Amino acid sequence: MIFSSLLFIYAFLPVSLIIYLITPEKLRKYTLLALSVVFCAMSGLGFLVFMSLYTLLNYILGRIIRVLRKRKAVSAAFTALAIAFDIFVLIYFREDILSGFIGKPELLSLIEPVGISFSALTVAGYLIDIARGSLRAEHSLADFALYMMFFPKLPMGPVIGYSAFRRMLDHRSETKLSEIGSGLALFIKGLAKKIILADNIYLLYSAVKSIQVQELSSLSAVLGIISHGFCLYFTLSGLSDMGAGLSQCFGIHMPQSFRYPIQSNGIRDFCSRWHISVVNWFRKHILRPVSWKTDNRFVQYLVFIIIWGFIGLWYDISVNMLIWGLLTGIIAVCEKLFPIHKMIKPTARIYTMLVLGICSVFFFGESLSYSLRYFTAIIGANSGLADKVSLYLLKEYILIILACVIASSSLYKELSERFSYKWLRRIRAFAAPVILTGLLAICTIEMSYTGVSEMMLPVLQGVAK
Amino acid sequence: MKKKSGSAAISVFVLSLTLIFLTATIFREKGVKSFQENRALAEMPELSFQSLADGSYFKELGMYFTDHFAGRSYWISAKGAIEADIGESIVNEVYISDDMLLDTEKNEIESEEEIAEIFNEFSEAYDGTVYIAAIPSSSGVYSDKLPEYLQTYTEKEQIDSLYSYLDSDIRKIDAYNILKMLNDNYIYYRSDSRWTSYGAYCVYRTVIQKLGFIPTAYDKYTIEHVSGEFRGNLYNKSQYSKNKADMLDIYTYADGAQVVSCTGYNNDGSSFEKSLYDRSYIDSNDMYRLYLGEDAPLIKLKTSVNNDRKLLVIKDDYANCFIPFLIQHYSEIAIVSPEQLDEGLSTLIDRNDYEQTLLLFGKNGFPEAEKLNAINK
Repeated sequence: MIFSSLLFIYAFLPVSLIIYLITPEKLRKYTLLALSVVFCAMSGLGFLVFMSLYTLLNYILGRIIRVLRKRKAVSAAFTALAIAFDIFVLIYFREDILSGFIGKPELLSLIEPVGISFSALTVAGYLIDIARGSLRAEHSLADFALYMMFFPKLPMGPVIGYSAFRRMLDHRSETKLSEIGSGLALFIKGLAKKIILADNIYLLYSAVKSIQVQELSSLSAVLGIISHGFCLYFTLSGLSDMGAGLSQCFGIHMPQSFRYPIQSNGIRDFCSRWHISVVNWFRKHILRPVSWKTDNRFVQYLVFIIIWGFIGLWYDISVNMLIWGLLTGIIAVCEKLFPIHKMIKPTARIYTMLVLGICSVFFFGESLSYSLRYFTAIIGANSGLADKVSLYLLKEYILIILACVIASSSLYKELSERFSYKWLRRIRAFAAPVILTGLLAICTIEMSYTGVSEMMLPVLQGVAK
Repeated sequence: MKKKSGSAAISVFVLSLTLIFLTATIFREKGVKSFQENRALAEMPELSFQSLADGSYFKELGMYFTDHFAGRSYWISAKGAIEADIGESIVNEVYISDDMLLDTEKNEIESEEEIAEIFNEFSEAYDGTVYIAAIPSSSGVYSDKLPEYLQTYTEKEQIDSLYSYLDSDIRKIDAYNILKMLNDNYIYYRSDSRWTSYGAYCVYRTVIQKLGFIPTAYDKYTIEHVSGEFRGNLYNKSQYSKNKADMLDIYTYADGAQVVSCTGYNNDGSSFEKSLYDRSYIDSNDMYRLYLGEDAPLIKLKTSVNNDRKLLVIKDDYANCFIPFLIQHYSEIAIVSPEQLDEGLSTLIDRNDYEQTLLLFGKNGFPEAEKLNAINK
């Protein structure tokens, strides 16, 4: 089940909150586990069985690695094997490559692996931490199962380390209406990002994509890049905001997944603002161990570029995504070698946007040749600078694009911090419930016809599984 | 303090809103058909191990919940109103142009070749002559009102491609160009993808000449405006009602031939009385059924014409407002809807009793190949 559906918002959410509220404090952890089990079951009993086995297996693997940790070589080999297994499961269920080779029994094709991309990272990080000795394997299966299946973070992360999750779980903030309120506020913000912004800008993106690339004018191509960027950002950050908001309703404060990437000053900055928990996972488990081992700058840079290649592949296993990742990594390293910090802010931002735009042509192109022809479209070599279609699209979508720009920047946050008069704060406190309820109503209106907002960029379809 | 009480208010607002709608949805009376949308609503899914295992149970439950969501019709009308103004004027795949609604859904129809094969097979085993008229939908004729990028594979091309696969002894009627030339007139409904009676008349003039008759002049007809409140299938889909409602007309030729009998046949061969127009539908949400009324696998019309000419019409609902123009020329007309046929055509009639066959379909109205193939059985 996806968060952005009527069934979730108007049935699962209120009912689960009430059940959580009426259970005594001591049992609440188990209530959360039970709710998560129900959530999994709603994606199919097949998935629940899969998830339970996956959890149990990794629980056992964790315990074994913990026992083996004294014998370095054995432990390392075993951990590598365990992680290889988890990656195999990820690829087998997410992509068609492996199942095409070795076949897929009918029983397994019943399973729709919700959030497997995030679960795989989560569990691999857990095993690595145990092997390295920085974490003890969890003894309580219930706690570990909650870590794996906690429904607010199941579909879209964030990926968090086990000790951090335990800390958050054990020190949940007191359950108060105001806490639930801010959680719901975050949830609705995320919902609005997904439904009002991402879904609408997606129409522009699909309009551009429906034009043959040979007939694409420069303006259309640029509109395609802009719409893809916003659609990607608002889908991912909207869904993770919804998850974070839900967690907060249960007193668990998840870390932010995005920090206004549109305001990055350079690609290095972008790398620290984009999909933070995922990028951090790769940094922590691949880059950091290498930098402990060697002081050689260039090895470190190389590893940095390689992990960005992995991040690309994590989104989708394709040549284009690999190029996107490597390119991002290479440019970030170049920035380190040839510092750009002397650039003034506006120039740096424009530079960042240009580079991100160019990289994203690989992100959304379904093949390398498509992307290359897209570049010729950008310089106007395919169908001129602008044509009737592009002007029409610009006219129809300019307001949505502006809304996206404003919503993806920290403008509102900064304004409210700068003008933090008492009377203004009071007005905002009164207005917030009304505005948020209004937003929820608009989202409901938008969902009313089909009942869900399932639109997903083709590239994200794997991640969203 | 203020911020906290504000947050508490949010939780109270949102939780009560969701709970109110949840209870309202659970306890509201559940219809089986939506009046406004003119379609059957999702039914409560049946619990089974299979549906629970692959998750389809909860998917269907979600659809059920959506279809019966409290205030659904209001939510959807609001969607139409909002989306017409935000961004492109496309609501649920319906494009809202200045004066009419146009469908933008990509029709995943059976390939033209496959359909043509079936018609060819029909024609080969048939003694008489076969005529075909494939009628474009309003988005085909008024494609220039659509944004350019939506006009990739036009209905004209699709019809041309269908015709090119047909045997040469099937006589083809180019309805597209006739309608295209007349597109200043009220030949298509503003809120429906199908043609108006006037549109049908314009094509009738050409069709009937091909069939070997002189068309009845326009001024011989008296036109009755049956309803000015018609809103068609595109309204059902988009719930957009800011444009003008449509008019349903009945053309009658008082001095001409009249229908003597009109009988519908079910698949089991049992028959029932029908009429050319079923006025009981005027007060329903499905006004278009005014023409020919409830669909039947086979309808036989006998007229007061004394020429022993017989025509077989194989059609979809585009033909319903077309049939009345034909009664001036034939003493008997058999009308077959392949969509409704359970078994082969031959279980109901012998096609060789009819010396001419007219295949009359909307471009988007061709039944699935499997269904359509019933005309050869």
